[in-house]
Amino acid sequence: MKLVIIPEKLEDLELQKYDAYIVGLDKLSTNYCLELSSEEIKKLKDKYPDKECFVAINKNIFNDELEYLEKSLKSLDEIGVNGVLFYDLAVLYLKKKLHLKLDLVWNQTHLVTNYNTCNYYYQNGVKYAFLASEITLDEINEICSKAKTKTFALAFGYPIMSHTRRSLLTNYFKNEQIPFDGKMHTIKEKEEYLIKEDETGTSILYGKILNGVKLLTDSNIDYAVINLFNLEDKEKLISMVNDVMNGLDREEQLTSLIGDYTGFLFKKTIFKVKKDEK
Amino acid sequence: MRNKKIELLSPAGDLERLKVTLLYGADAVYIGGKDYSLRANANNFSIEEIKEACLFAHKLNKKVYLTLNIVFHNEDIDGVDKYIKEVVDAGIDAFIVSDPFIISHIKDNYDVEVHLSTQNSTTNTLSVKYFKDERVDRVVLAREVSIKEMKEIIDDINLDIEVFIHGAMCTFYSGRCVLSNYFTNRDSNRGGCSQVCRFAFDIDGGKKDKFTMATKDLNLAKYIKDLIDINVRSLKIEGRMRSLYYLATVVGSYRKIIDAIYDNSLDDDMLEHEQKVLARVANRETSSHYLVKKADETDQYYTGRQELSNQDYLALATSYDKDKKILTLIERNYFKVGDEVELFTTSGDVYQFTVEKMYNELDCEIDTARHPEEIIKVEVDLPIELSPYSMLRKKID
Repeated sequence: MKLVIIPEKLEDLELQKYDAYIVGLDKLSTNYCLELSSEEIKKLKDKYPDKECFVAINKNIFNDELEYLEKSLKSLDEIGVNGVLFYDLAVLYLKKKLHLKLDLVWNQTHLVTNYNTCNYYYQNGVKYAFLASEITLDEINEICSKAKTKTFALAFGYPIMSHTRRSLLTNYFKNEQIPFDGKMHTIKEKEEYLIKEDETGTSILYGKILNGVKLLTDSNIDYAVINLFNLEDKEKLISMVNDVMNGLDREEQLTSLIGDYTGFLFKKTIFKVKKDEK
Repeated sequence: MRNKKIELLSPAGDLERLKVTLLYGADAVYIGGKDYSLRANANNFSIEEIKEACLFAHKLNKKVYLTLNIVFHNEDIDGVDKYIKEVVDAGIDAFIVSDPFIISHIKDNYDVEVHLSTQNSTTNTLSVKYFKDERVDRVVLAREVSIKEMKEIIDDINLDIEVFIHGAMCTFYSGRCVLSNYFTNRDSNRGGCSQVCRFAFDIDGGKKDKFTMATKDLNLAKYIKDLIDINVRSLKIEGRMRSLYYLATVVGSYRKIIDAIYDNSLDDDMLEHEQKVLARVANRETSSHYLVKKADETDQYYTGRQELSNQDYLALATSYDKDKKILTLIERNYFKVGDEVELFTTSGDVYQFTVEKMYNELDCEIDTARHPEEIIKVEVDLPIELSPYSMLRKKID
């Protein structure tokens, strides 16, 4: 199992004991703190040659962005990044059309939920699948055993819950007649959630940090991902995760560092509701 | 303008709704089966009901599409092929699917159309091309696509394109929202959506209103001609869980608008009237969202739920005795002698009148109809043979 970080800042790449990193691509990513140009990505690749470099192109793409997408994919192919995470099928279409060598990661956030579809994409030239955070550990293990794709899964970090093209914070504050400060905000119903807006739209994240230590000990995923966004004690976290990957018991310390929220690893969602529960 | 007339596609949550929407002028209807559809908590159709639905529709030379658009988990795959075969044998005209594995499985094994679900949030020409190469027969575009982008896609690719024209909107990209999973443990991508986007939240920095993300509904009535002109193939109405009255009204209005465009009789008065009819049946305000501009602050609500109860629907008409001039009805909402009402029929005709005399089931004269499901008889002179599913509503003018 390899450890992947999603850096919050460029300095995070100086942290030790990780195998790979994922950064966003300028104008074609969403929810990546680092969204870089192809040139900047090439510099990173040269600077950290022993780390695998993945680039996320995970926004919904519109026609006026297709030319830039094609140009960017050609550049990333030339640079030789280890893989491109994609949401929009235009990326896969272009890989085929342009005969690009670069490997792809199926990364349709909440839709990567079964091994058959992983295998469909594998047959269509996609090497990796980034599993949804809303499936159970049992489902993850079944996918790992039956899918031909190599698997990524978020192990630590704030899970994303939703993404819209709408500028929800700008709109809200306009209605409130308060200038929007451009910062991340907190919304609260019974619990608290994080909400942030950029040029691609608005995203809402769960307010607790996923503690997926069991993915390290009880699953066969190929890439365990730590999203460093908004986390403290990053070095300590990565060090503990390495300890766990080396067979040491650090569950208690991890819980005291980031909490014990395990997401859907042990909680199966339902979708047919009994009449009296509607 | 294309030779082939544009398709009006309506939802139906059960067999009766299916019949009503087809009779009111839908060219095709989309339904969910008992499994694998994104409205897991609607009544949905059994295989026997799908057969009956297809027979009914095909007799009218109309079509039935079945949604198979959940995001499949490992456990959902067992049995899906058997189900697809049963549905194909039942006579379905197309499946609406989002998962490319399921698309390729259907295309490899069955001779039936596949439409790409909006759940896939397809927003550009190359994505459409990808799915065309995968043998998809039609793509339902994301609701975030503008009419300019629709035209570019249609002009560039010889493939049927379907767009939403009316009904509730997701706040988020379809497929990119699992708020329901996190808030209520109900899986939004497998049909369990609990509509968290209509909740109200406290927000740091807010002053007056709570933070809400609820959107107004979609209404593209005034853009139908533009959509026909750019060669959109199918116009889709949202709402498999909507009432008979809602469906009859919305389908009926769009049928009239489309037909009037094709025979060059649509004028501003008619469009304004149909917009009024559509507005009266809506329980939220409407907007065109992304069609001509990026959706903005005017397309949302800021003060929690804004749903209005609608009591325009007065009764379902069951028979008309021409000799005695008695219209028999099943009451739905309160009305009384002196009320101005209108009877509307599946053929699009509307008869306005004032309720002057009415009777209960025992033929005793009454002045109010106040009990839902009560049989009511109204004395009125109508120049018609009553068609099934004609309805009485408050006069709209």
